[in-house]
Amino acid sequence: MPPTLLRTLLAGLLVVTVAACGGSGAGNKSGDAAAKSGPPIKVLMIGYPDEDGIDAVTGAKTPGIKQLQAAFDKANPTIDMQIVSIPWGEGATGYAPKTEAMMKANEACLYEMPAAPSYGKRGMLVNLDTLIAKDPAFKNVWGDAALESARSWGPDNPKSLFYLPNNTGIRVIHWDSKLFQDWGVEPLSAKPTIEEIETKAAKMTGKNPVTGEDNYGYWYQGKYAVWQFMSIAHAMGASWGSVTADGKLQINWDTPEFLRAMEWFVKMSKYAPKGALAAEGMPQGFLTDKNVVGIIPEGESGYFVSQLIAQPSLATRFRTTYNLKGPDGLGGLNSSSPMAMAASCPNKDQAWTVLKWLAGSPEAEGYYFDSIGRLPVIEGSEKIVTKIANLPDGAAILDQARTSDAVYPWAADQPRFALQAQLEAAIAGKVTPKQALEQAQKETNDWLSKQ
Amino acid sequence: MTILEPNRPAGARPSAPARRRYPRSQKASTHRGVRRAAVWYLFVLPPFALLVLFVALPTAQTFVQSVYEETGRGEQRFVGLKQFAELGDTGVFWDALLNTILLGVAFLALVIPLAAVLATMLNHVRRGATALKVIYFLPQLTSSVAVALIFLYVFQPDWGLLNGFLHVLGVEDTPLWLADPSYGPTGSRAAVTLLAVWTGLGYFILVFLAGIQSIPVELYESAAVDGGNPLQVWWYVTLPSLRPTFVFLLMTGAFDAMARFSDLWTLGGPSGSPARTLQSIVMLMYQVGFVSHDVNQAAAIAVVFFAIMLVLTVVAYRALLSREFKARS
Repeated sequence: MPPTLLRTLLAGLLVVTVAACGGSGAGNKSGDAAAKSGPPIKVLMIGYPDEDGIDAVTGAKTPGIKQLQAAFDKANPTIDMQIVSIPWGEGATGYAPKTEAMMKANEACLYEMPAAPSYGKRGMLVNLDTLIAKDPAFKNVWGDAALESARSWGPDNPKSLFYLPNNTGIRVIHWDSKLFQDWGVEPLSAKPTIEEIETKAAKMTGKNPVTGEDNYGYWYQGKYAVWQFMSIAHAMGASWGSVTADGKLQINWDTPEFLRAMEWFVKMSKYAPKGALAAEGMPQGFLTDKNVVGIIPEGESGYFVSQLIAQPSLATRFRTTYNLKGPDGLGGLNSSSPMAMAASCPNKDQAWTVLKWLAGSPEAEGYYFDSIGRLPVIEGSEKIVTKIANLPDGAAILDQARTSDAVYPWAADQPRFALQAQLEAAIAGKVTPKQALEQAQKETNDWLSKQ
Repeated sequence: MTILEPNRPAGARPSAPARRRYPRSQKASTHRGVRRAAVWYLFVLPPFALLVLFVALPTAQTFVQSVYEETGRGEQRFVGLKQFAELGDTGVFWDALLNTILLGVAFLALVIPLAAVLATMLNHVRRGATALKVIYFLPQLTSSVAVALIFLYVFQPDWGLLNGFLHVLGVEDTPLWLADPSYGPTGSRAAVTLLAVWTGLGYFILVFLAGIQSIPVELYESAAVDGGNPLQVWWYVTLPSLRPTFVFLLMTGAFDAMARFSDLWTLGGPSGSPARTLQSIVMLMYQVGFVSHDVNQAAAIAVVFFAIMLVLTVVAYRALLSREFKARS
């Protein structure tokens, strides 16, 4: 091929490539833009299916994110909402760096944002109290306790409301009624205590008298054991600390209550399968006939509730109770999903309307459950997801969401990882519970000193 | 007197004097050369621009961020070397660094000898060598996250594949693998090292195989004439001839091992469970930057990591490659 022709062809290819890289910039706009007023409100949402589908386990229909978009457009025809849907992902391709990048580039107005308090602390989110104060039509459908537990420190207000919860995954205690029956153990009560769990777990560890299989009385999710530990400690009267008026955390792990909780946890770990320390979910065989664990605390019910609905026999075997509760009646990790507004959002009034709808409308709450099994957080949720309300333990499942512990402001910070690592070391027998708490306190103090 | 130019017919117009014609021709030629070169520079420009945009600028930005800290409102304040001083005071950082070095050394200590032996054996396989190469190389092509998820099942202490196999062999007290934070050969570090070897072995074998096949046949013929047995030939001919391959794999393998992230994150989670035994320096950087949202501290970790890699490169070059470069020059 002559060099001139080669150069011409390559130059043409270059032009085409550069033009293709430019893109149209139209985004994934949907609906009739002509009928909309104001600039589009972009919303980052995480983990919803792109297309309508069918759940591989239950056979139930799972609506894609476009269904949520359509429902919003129907309810708010004058607002141009655009959803940017991303998967949770993992590591460097996970939601966290994408969220950080989008926040830095002012890419969206609203964010489904698991680490909302951290962004709020950095002054990057709107304190929603300012919008609520200007909105006479605002109706608190989440309940005072839920909004109170969502408050965290911000540069302008030590008790800022940086997000509204839009759905939740709850942490409950599951128990296998068949194993209880095999061992002749009384069923777990609706609100079990520490003592009850210990006694019954001990009784159910060993060779099953009916099947002859190895059974275990207790379970813990090794990689996330810190949340179970916090529920236990809270039930034993421990308090992690507080946030001062200027936003500084005061955290105390090395207390008699936490020590008692860790000693108890280490003792209970002996009633669990030995591989539980490496686990990051439910035990093998959970929700099947092969289950060998009697009491399964910190069960993430939202992930499994659709299976309980699809197979009623499962719901009668695998029962659900409230998580451990402290003296204040609260307990269990608050795993509500926050919906927050970026401080850089240029159209806050319309964005506020969108946020209220996404976090508080029955249509949106119903969509979250149908698509990924996340539970509603608004009052009257039993009317939105009647299928859950009709389950044998439906009331506990729906009510746990409203009685979980307040959000931990250190949940994504070094104190969590310090406590988790030392808890694992204590369970593995590398250190004593006392040494573990002292080391966790030391690492936490190092971190606190840099606040 | 008219001096006729050679080959010019009589009566024809004289051409321009030679001294004037030469520069014009050179100028045109230079212009043509510049135009031709410009086209190629144009082709180089997009990848160069991408390199600047996605590598050089973020690297520079990371250096800048490492000497700042974020105040309460997302604003940045210059703090000099404070982030580095804080890192030095943190036991977590040193633990992550130690883990990174341990995992890297263990990986290379296993994979290089194993790959050298297997490549030698594969070189002698007459039938099915290609199929074997493909089988060895397949793990390298599989997503590291997918591999890690599979190994989560392989190493599961209660119902995992490996312990199941050990039970079949009659082992009663099976190892805890990923649930064991000890330094032993059946602890979590050993488990992830086995994973890395399984994944990387095929690549190392192929590179060794290429090295073996480029060794001059005359060397083997001379060894045969001298009466060397196969083991002696391998020890005294093959291995010394593979020195550049060893150096290449040692250096690139060390860099890859130091930068390991996806599989460790999948197996160990954000805190490198159990008890931070799987937390590498890149994992710590990610956790600090994107889970705890301290971007400046994460940048400081990145700068330290960059410095370590730079030192490693220079030392490796001085110690292992300078002889080759000198010989070439």
